[in-house]
Amino acid sequence: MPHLTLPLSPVGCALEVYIGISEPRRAVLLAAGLAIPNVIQSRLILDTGATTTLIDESVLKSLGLTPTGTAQILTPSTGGTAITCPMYDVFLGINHPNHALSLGTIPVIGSDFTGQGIQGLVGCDVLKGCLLIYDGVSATFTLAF
Amino acid sequence: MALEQEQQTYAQELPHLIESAGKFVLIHGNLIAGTYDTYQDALKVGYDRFGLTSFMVKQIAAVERVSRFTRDISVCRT
Repeated sequence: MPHLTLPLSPVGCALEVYIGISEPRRAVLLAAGLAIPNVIQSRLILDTGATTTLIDESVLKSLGLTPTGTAQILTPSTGGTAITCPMYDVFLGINHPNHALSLGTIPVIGSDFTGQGIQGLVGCDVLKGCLLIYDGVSATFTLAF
Repeated sequence: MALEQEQQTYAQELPHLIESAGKFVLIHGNLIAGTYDTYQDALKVGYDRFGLTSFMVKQIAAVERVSRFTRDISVCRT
């Protein structure tokens, strides 16, 4: 089982993730003779307090994405009334020394992480397919697929 | 709000869609284009049929699943 063991950072379990357009969108752009946006390397943290993966809006904008879904969300500031927000289809991958690890094409929500030193959160929608070990004693975490 | 027409169509058609709960519905405007076993399948058909025009993929559920976040986030609502 491929896995990564990385040091804990001040923001938590942070790792570099490649974010790109989904394969179906890529095929449409190619067929139309349009430019394919480059994948964007982003720093994301693993967040078991997030049920859905969030990506910074600047990354989604750079990829030229338009919404292909919606989600109802609850946060500490929404109280008990969920709000509706758009979702975007993206491809996520992790740069592993020995494997090209794909997290696949998933729907994500756009958010603003300006000034937080990260460009998004990997939520439980992705983590449900992984093994995550948080080793506070040695200040590392391991993510296995 | 993006996909307003598609959201309205989903809400109107939900009584008919509910027998396919758990599957993913593909909606373009007021057209129900199909239901699919996986998100990826519905997305592929969406791009194949509708290209870069507006379409929505949504998992069918009697009560919509709510995404929860223990941290406060600033989400784009447009």
